Amino acid sequence: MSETYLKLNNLVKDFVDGRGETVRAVDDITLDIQKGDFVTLLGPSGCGKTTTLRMIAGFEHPTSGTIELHGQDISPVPPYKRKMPMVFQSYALFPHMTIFDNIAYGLKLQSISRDQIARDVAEACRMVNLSGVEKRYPGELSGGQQQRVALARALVLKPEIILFDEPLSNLDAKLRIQTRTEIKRVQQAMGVTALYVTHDQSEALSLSDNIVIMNHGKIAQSGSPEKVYNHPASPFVSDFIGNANFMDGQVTRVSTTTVDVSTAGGTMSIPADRCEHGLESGTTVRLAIKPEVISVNREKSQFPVTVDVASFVGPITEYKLQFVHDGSDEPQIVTAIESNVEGVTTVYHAGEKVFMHINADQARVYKV
Amino acid sequence: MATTAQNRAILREPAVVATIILMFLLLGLFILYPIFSVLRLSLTQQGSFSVDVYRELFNRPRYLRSITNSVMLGTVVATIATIVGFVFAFAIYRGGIKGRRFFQTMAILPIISPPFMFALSVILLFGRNGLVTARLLGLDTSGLYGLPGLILVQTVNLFPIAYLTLSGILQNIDPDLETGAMNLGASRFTVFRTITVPLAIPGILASWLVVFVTSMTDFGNPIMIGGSFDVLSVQAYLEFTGMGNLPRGAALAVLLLIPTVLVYFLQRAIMKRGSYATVTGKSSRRGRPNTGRGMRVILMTFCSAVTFLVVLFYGTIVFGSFVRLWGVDWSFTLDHFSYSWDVGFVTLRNTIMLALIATPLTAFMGLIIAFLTIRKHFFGRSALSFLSLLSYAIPGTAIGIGYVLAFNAAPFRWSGTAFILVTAYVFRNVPIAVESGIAALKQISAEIEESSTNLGANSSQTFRQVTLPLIKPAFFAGATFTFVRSMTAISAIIFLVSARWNHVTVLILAQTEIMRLGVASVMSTILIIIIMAFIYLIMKATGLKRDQIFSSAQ
Amino acid sequence: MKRIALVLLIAVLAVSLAGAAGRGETGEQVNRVTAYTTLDEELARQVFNAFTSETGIQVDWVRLSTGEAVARMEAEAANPQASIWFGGVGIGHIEAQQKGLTRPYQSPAATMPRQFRDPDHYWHGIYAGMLAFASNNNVMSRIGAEPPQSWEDLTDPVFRNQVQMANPGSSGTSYNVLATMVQLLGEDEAFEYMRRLDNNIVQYTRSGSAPGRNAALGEVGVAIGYSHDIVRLISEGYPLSINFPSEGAGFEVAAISLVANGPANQAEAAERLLDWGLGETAASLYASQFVVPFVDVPLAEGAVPISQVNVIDQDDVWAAAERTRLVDKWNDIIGENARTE
Repeated sequence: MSETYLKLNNLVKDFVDGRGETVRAVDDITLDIQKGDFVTLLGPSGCGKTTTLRMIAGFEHPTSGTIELHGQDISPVPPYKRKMPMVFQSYALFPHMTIFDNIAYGLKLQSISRDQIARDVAEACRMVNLSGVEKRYPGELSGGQQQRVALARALVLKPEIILFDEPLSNLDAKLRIQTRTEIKRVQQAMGVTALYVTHDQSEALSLSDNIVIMNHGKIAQSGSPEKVYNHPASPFVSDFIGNANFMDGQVTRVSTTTVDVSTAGGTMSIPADRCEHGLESGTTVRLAIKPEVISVNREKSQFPVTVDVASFVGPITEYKLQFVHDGSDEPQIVTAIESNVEGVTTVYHAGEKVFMHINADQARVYKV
Repeated sequence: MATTAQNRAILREPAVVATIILMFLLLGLFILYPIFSVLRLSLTQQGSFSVDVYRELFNRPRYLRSITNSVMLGTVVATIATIVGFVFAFAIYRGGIKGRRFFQTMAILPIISPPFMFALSVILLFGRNGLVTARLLGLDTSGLYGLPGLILVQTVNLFPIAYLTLSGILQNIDPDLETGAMNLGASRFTVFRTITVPLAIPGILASWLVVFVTSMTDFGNPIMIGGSFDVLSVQAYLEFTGMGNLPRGAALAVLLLIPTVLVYFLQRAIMKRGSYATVTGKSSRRGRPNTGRGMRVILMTFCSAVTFLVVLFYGTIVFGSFVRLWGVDWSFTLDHFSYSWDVGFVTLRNTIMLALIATPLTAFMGLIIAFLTIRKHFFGRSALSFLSLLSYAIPGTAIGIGYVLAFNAAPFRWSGTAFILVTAYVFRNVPIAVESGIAALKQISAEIEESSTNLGANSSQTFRQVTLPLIKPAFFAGATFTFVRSMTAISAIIFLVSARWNHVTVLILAQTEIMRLGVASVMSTILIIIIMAFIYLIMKATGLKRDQIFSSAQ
Repeated sequence: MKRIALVLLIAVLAVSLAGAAGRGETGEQVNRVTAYTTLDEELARQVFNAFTSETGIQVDWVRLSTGEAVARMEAEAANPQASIWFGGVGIGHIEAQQKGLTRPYQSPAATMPRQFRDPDHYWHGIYAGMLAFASNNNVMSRIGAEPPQSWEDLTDPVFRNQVQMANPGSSGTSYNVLATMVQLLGEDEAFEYMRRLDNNIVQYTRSGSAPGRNAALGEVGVAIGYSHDIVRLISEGYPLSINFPSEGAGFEVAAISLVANGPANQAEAAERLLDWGLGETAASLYASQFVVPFVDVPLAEGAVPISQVNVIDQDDVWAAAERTRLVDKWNDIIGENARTE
């Protein structure tokens, strides 16, 4: 089953900006995409993920490097012959065509009988749970419905791969979650390969077989959702995918099982397998601590802190906690998340003096 | 900026490359080459380069005076017309006056008139035998001929240009800004002074410049009621056509050309750099009127007065069609109609036919150029858009002279043909079609076209099935204006008409000069009716609204 | 894109072909002739309609003033559009001849006196008309003035902004006035006179027949024009008086010339039109418009034969040769005498 379907080899893309300076948007990307996989390009805006997608679709031409499909270089293939339908951020539905005509658009460009087109469109609508709107125009549909039309328009061509360019960013939160489930379900049912671009880590985590995290045009890390979440390769990935807090410290002792790091709040022992290799006593390091591994309580523990902001969001409460480093006037703010279980957890309020406790087993240590 | 990779990408679409080359060839032949011919003639004496013609011009007071007169006329008219246009736009879009729809119509009506039609009305109303001056007031005045008459006529003729630009700008000022300023404690007048006017400044400047150029290059009004107030466009015509001094006529046209081209590009720069689009785009979103009651009365009175003048001017022409002999014999007659039919039918038919040929050609060409410059990346893209917009800045007089010079000898022997008239219409009006095409394309997200390509459509399929239907309004707006401007053209056309292919405006001018005012009125009335019918049919057939059509008139 | 480009290309080609066909350069003689005419529009219409109904030859015509006609022929010299120039002041025809714009043709119909035709057969006179003043009687009584009787009277301040003549640059009539004054007064005094006259001029029109009509309507008080135009207006019932300048009137010899290198396929038709224009039918049409043709036909009531007027001894060949210089000089002097009202 595991066969390389789409392969990017040392892909580079330069743009010339308004002042005539060359900007490298995509910097030496090499990537294998397996048939049937759901692969997500994840990264902040400007990281090159959309440019990569557009090069695959043929809208941009690589400055260097190649894109291979089934081992064939597709550089000379014009975009309209690549058979890689794309679902756009703006949906890009044709406002002057009915929903039926929108979905049938790609089919009509091929020599397919009218009956067949009607059947295929009906099937695609069924796949995305869209019916009864075929005669309407895009402007008369809700955002969620338009999104389904865009998906159906791609599905109806029975492609081997579908490209998604931040397809959910124009939907409201609830619809976003609903639609992303839908996308995953359809992708699995059709067995189609999906390449998905987003800057939303929860979208990436929930949808993907494989996440490619990009930063400054390069791949920062790639791997399964669990891997990139639990074993982020760099502070950037920790921050981007886990919203980690960072604390600076110094290694005081290295043993086979643990590394001791002295920080502003005291020394922590961190399991060696969660530390970057090659640490020794005296190395300056940075600890990445996810909000959910920090607990807040009134019992005197590691750090005395003040609650700066407490945001109650139902299942959890997010705290911004303020504490003062030794020898520094600048207060540091860390984020902590506590699950709310009624009658068990206490919710603290802004201004309260409390303590926070960091579960050192869950921290990660990077060289600075 | 097209990179090498993008240039290579274009080469994969030979049809696109062919179209780009064709557009360059056409624009070069019909815009650059004629202008080059004018320059060359004005700078040549006995076959070698010389500035003698210009030296002579600057040594003769008559020509010097026509330069200063043209500039003075442009300045005065631009100032008054911009003020009138601003007040009109403010009254309608911010002043909260009653009868907005009516006033909106009235403010754009003068745009569809032949340029000299109001001059004819003014002669009928305020001339020696004027209905108002002689008959009602018993005055004997020649004061109409010259600067005062020109100012009156051009102001009424040109304030709609300022109105259209400024109403667009005033609509785009987010009403929340004004509300916000008031909320912070500003009085109505302070809001007007510190918010509304500063935001409208780029539009005001741009309108002023456009009106300035249009007034300066106007030919129809000065030749009718200019009197002894010499202006460049008329002088160039008289030298070239009347005296047969071709180099001098060409040089005068160049003198007219230089400031108009400069001003045109200055205006574009201002609009591009200085427009504070506070847009949320919805022109339907209107704020509370920023006026008190007294102010509303004043605005209402002002708009009514201007409207009255417009209606009066039109009414006079219609009335004049039925008067046996204006000023002498006021009895009713239909003779002017039968005479006009005899003299003008063939010309009118030919004028309409040629305008109808030019209309779709212009609209298509405009769309193609707009599409290429907005959506395709290739070397010379900005040159193409510059070239296509250039002819808007070139005075009709210069184009007319240029066409006579360029297309009367091998290999381009086209003078006296219908072809030369059609090309003049097309290339005079293609900038309007390009501009409205560009505006429309900018509103269509590139993703829509990309998604068509992505679904398997090539460039031409995408253009036909997606782009074209979406820019239909721009297409018809461009087409409508090409038709209107072709039907009412005179400054370039007067050099190009021939015995076989005359133009109805040239006939009207001739009738006016020999004081067959009734016949001139009939022909003007018929011309206006045809234009209105055409606009009506376009609106009916395409379902476009008036505002969509007139948005490209700015 | 390809198809649109193709459609556009075809359309452009089609129009250009249509244009070329319209010019009919196929070499075969056509029943069609293109004319520039300086006759009054209404007369031109009658004349050409009569010719068409008699011969079946279609005339495409456009009315141009004398100056415009010469300029147009000059501009088109490389590719002439018209075959014949019909009507217009003789000085203009001589100028066209001097510039090589017309061609000789020995017409069998040429019966006019020798002084009214070119010895080398380039131009052919059809009628003569004298310069005269048309004064509007109503205006005269309103301003309390007598109609002017002499060139000198015209400069009387009582006629300020009441006099109209055409621009000598574009109008043959008006250049005739300028040439007359130079021949009467000598060049320096003539220009001094034109400068004084300018004080009373309200507007210089493009065409020589416009001032007469303006005077008829009362738009101006006095017009300088040709007698036949004025007589015709009087017969139409306008309140005009006609006066001939006592110092001496210039006159025009309206003429017909064939355009050099005109469309080859119209050559025969153009010659027929010229012959016909010198004949009796045409002459009676001219006469109906109050001119006195060189062919002996019954005159309209009120028409003034040249023999009854004090005309100057006029040198048209000189006047034609001097035109550019004199018009430029006139422009300078009027230009200096700047008025903006």
